[in-house]
Formats: sequence, structure tokens, C-alpha cells
Amino acid sequence: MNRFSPLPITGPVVAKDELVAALQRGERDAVARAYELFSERVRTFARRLLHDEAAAEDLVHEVFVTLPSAIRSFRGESALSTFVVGIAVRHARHHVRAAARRRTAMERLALAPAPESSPDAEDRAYGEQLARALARGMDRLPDEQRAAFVLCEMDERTSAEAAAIIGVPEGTVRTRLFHAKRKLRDVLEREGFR
Amino acid sequence: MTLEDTRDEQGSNEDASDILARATRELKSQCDGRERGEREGRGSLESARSDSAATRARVMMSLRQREQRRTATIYVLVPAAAVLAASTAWAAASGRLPTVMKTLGEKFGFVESPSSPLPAAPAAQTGPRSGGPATSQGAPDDSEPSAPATEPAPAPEPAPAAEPARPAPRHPSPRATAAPPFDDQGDKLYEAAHRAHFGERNWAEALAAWDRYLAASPNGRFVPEARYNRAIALLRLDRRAEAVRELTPFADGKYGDYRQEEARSLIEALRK
Repeated sequence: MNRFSPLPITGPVVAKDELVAALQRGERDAVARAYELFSERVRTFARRLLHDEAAAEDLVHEVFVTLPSAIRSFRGESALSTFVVGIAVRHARHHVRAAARRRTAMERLALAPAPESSPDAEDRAYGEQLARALARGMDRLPDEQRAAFVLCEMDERTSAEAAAIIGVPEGTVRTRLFHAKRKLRDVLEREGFR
Repeated sequence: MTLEDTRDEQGSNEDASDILARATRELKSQCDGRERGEREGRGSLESARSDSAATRARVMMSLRQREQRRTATIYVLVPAAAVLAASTAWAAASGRLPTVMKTLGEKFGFVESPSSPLPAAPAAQTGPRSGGPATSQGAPDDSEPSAPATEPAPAPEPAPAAEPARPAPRHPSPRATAAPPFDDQGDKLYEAAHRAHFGERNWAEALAAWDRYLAASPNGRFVPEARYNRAIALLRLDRRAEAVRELTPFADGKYGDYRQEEARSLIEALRK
């Protein structure tokens, strides 16, 4: 199943409404059900946004702990999954900082594996360096540009979907994406990747 | 920048030669591949889901703890609020609310701690008193200082000083220094009694008026003054025994040293 296929809610639409109502009542079972439905989606987004397993799990945890209070503002204008990922976007700020700090520390300690010598290995090493450079560049982006980049480029969502998740107009998402990509290209070029 | 530019920018991402597109693919595959690799390394799908299960357990525990904190808060706050509401209602009913508010205000620094009493508290006045009728804005005059010597006294009462020039007690009673409760009805009754007593000098009417005030405001701010004036009215009506009974608490210091000396002198004179 595609990671971003529509929600695996098999029951009638009423089931979703019931889930929302139960969440709004603060029922813990409803949070557990929402976790089953949406946690993988949130986790994937969190990993791509943070590039850090522990930080991603922390973000997933925070999203579902705050879900009962956040759901009070849910008006049904978007899919529930979109709303839940939106919570992740809004709560990502300090996780992004924490992950970036951890990454910087790890790089200082030179914990990255030593490059191998075969052509395949060289290509793989080049890819890893490229990915690390991109991750470093993303750490320097403002949060909103980073979220727009991850949603549109890594999650491959349309700007309309990203706009619904972030809660801003579509044009704003495109603008943020434009600036994010320009900055990231500059970073990659400065680090010698062309 | 126009929207078209941004769309072009998005479209250029599809270009395989774009270094950013490649970097994005590499990073994405690392993020997703790391996840897969971890799962494969653990050897089973069940263990691969352990992260998710652990996070789920953390979520449920956090929610449970939050619920417990909320419940504990309710168990503490609701009784506290109930006690506060009940005590406020009691203080309002008994006329002590302004005193409490004033004390709290002083305690928390919302109002200045007065070394001199509020101007609205007549009993706390330290200067010479006026014998004129009270006004609704200002505080009504508190009490007749003593049985006036100029009147044809029905009883051999001593007249320590002239009425208007009589100074206030050196140490006002605790009631006299308390903040004035806002009791409109009581204040009006007091004003009427004061008028009958000091203005009209109709002692029977004054006595009835003091009784009405004391019945309406048993804890009112002018109770000591009203009781003392009632005693004086009884004296004017030649009801000596009742007057002595009324003056005795003052002589015994029930109201501090408020009118204590005058009460003692009057009782002594009445018993002669």
C-alpha cells in the first residue's frame, strides 16, 4: 500500500465522525485508534523532516498526546490525516532544533562510517555525503520553508495538500518552497556538489 | 517572484541532472531505508514495530498521567472554590466582606495599608465631631458623645464636655477601625435615627429608630454608636435601668475604650 494512500478507514464516514467526537471528548481509546490509523504517516513525515529516529519518535509522541486538545479546532474542512500531520508540522520546531544539534555533535565526533573503496561503494558514499549536505542545508532553513520542502519534495504532496496541512494559502506554500530550494541549491553548490 | 516562477521551480525538480533533486532522493531513501534496514536487522516484523509500540505506550502513559493531574486539580480546586464562595457569601451576608477585601488588598499590596482609617468610617475620626445630621455621601455622625448638659436632663447624668467639641476616643474600638461595610439600608436607617436624635431631639422616635437600625444591621458598622445613642435616648426617656444595662457593655470595655469613660460616669451618676 502506498504510504500516502487515503486513510485506511474501512467503516462508513460516520466512523470517522465518531472518532473525531470521541477525541474531542478526550477519550483515550480514541487516541489509541487514531494512533493505529495515522502514526505511520506521522512517523514517516517526522523522519523525513528531522532525519533523526529518536526525535521523530518524540514528535510522534507529542502529536498524539496533544491530539485531544488540538482536535477541538478540527472543523472537518480537511481529512483527519491531514489535520494530524498538520499538528506534527506545528510541533516540529523544537524537535528540528534538537535533531540539528544532535547531528552537528555527531559530525564533530566523526561518527560517520569510513568510506569504502569499490565503485558502488564510492557512489553510495557520494550519495550519503550529498544527503548529509542536504540535511545540513535543511537545518539552516526557517521552519516553515523546511516543512514546505519536506511535504512537497520528500513526501511528494501537491502544494494544495501541503497548504491544507500547514494551514496557509497554496501560493504561500509555493513561495516558501521556491525560497527553500534556492537556498538548498546554494548550500549544495558551496559544498562542491554540482 | 510570480506563481509561474515557482511552478517552474517545482517543475525543474523533475530534472534528473538537478543536484538538489538527487540530494533529495538520497536523503529520502536514507530516511526510509534506515527505517527498513533497522527492521530487517531486527529479523522480524514484530520487532520492527517495537518503536511504534513503545511510542504508543508512551502516548497512552502521558495521557493517563495528564488525566490524573487534571483529576487531582479538580479535587483540589473545586473544594477550594466552594470554600471561597461560601466564605465570601458569609462575609457579604454578615457585612464583613469589605473588611476582608481591604485586608486582602493590604496584604497583596493592591491598596495602601492605612495608618489612618478610611474617611467613610465615622467612628475612626480623630478630630472634633459634628453633631449635625449625616449625609448619604459622607459617613453619618456616629454617636451622641454624652448626655447633653444643656438639656433638661431627666437623670443626673454627668456631662463631661460639650457635644461638638468632644474628641474621639484615643484608641478607637476594633469595630471603629474596621473598613466600612456598604450597607445602604442600614446607613439610611442610621441617618433617620441620627436625625430624630440629634436634629429633632424626639427621644421616643430616636429610640425606635435606633432599634430599627440595630434590627436591620445587627453587624453594621455603626452598631457601637447606635447602642450608645440608644442608651442616651433611654436616659432621656427616664428609663434608667434600661439605660444602665445598655451602657454596661461600654463601661466593661466590650467596645474597647470607645465611650468607656463616659459610660462609667453615666452609670455611676445614675446609681447615686
